[in-house]
Amino acid sequence: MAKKILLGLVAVLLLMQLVPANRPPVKQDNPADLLANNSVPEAVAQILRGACYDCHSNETRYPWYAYVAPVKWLVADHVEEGREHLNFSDWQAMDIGDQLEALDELAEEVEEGEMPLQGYPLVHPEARLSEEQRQLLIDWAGQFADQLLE
Amino acid sequence: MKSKTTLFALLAGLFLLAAFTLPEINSSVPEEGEFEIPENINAIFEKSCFGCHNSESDYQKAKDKMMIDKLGDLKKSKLVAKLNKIGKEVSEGEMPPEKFVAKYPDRVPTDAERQALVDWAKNAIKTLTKK
Repeated sequence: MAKKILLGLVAVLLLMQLVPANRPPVKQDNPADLLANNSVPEAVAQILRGACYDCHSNETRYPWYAYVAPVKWLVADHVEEGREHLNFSDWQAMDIGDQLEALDELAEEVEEGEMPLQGYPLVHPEARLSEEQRQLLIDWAGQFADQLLE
Repeated sequence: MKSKTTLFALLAGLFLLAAFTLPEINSSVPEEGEFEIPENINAIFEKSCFGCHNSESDYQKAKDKMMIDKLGDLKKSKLVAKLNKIGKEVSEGEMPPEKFVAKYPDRVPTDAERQALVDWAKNAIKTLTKK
């Protein structure tokens, strides 16, 4: 009996693999990218790349489990939604209003601990931000916003 | 002859006076940075938004996101961010939220009012970000 249940489970897991996940494609060449076009302090750039860019840019680094159901669906969803909200790869193509709003939201989300998304830092050590790193990011967002208006 | 010279001097004096005082008159015109919400827009805010989004609201979450009566106190980059947010939320129908719509159906902005808010926000951003 137990053997049958186990076999059934394995069968379901195998069948699940046949259902594709629509992983948003990875693109390494992004001429409108934020970091490629602006001088962002190295410490900030490092946080953005390590803690934000997987979902908020075209340069997603998909881990192995992004190819295994059921997790692959979750990952695909997160990346799709993340890019929809804010895609740093398209930064230069955004108008000034959208850029300033994005920076304001960034500071707000990071301050409130809404971002990086819960669960993500568990499997991505570089996204475990210290208080100092959070503050650095928040301060930069404010300064960069002012700079964009100069 | 003498009266002619006097007249000339007087005219020259007047001209100089005008030249020096004009810039001062100009500078008393409100600065571009000063932010005022026009009456028709304020009326829509009061009808549909202000109940939650004001500095004395009991609704903390709404207050954290936006205090319409304090927009003028924000630094320029933040003001533009908030105006952009207003335009987006109102045009996409995210605001007012469902609960508000259910509770106060008569205070939901009409399509024309939504459009007025969106246009106003867009123009205000344009003015504020003009270089």
